[in-house]
Amino acid sequence: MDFVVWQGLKIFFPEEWELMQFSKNSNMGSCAFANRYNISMELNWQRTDGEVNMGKTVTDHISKFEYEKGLTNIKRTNVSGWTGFYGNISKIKVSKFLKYFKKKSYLVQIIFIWPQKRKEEIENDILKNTKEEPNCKNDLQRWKSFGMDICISDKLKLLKCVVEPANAKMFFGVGNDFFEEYRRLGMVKYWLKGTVKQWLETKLPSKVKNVREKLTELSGHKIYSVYYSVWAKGLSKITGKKESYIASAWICPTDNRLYFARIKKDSAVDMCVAGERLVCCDRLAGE
Amino acid sequence: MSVSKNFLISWKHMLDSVPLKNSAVKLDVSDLDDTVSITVSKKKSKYLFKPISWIIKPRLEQTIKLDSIGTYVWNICDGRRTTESVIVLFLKKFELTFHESRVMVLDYIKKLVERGILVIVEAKKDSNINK
Repeated sequence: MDFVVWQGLKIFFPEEWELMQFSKNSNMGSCAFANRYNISMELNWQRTDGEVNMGKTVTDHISKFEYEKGLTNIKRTNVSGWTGFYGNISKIKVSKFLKYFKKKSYLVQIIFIWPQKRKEEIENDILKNTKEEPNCKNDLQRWKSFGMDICISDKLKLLKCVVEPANAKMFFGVGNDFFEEYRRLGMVKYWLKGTVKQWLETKLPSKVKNVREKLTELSGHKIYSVYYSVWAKGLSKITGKKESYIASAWICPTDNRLYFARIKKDSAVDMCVAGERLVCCDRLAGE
Repeated sequence: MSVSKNFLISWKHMLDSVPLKNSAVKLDVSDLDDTVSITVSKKKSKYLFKPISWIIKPRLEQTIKLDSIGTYVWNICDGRRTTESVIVLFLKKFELTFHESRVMVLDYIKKLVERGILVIVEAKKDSNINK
């Protein structure tokens, strides 16, 4: 089993499945996972004011599925604290489970779609393991998806996420301001002309100040980092305020992908992005 | 996004199809990087009748130069492999996930089909072309 951590939920799924669809909205949204041929699982979350009456909610969901989708052969079931039901929609086997997660105040629904035989073992494994993910050390929130294991400041939200083949980008911030940016790029030897250091320099804004470079080596990863400042935007610019950033890039020897992170620094303390904020593989995680 | 939409999403039929090369194209392999240039005949426009065709001379051929990735896709589309096998070969070569590879390969195949270089043959249900 593999897992993603999305909006504070640790979601398990078989290794041959992939995260295909996602929502940025922390109050209500969904993630969908697919095997090679079709969407196999959809997870929905919805922030509620308090704990819900699960029995009544499940009955409502059954009625809705029966009426809107023509669900037949309905049977209720309970698995690892999840309340649910299963049945058929024409030839497709469908099962749906609900659970309330107290810490996040989320009502979570998981829907499994089985075009052929229903695989209860997989369902049970997913339901047993899917849970709320506690914060990482230093009270950072964890996100894990698209090959990146990220720890970001707890006050930030996911503002933008772009996923294309061999190119995943996630931006976190407050309001419309990006504070942290993470990228993972594949097929590196086909497009990278020059060194990682040269590529990293192209990612810096045009008018940077106090540039300081650093090369570190961690578990076989050569990490290029640039510390720099830029004038603050808006009114803060008049007061001469500067914003400090750290940007790091490296190629992971395990998957040969290029990882990039840019973080707005709160303090003058040097931080290590690789390993602490962005992890690409188990070797770096062990650092 | 709703559940009902996800019930309909299936790539199975498309993955079982077979990309087939247009045998009428002319190939030119570069000595420098082994990339290929493909020349394909263009259909004459129905509006280019005489005497317009005496003035406007249409190009009757189109040459498409593939990059190294496109060349690889072209080479592995041998008329026997299904789209799924092409995707699997592509993901192994470029170290991608299945769906990353699927999106890229289908994008290339779509472009090649639009230019008349490849055609897609739908697999029959009882076909053993995949085996």
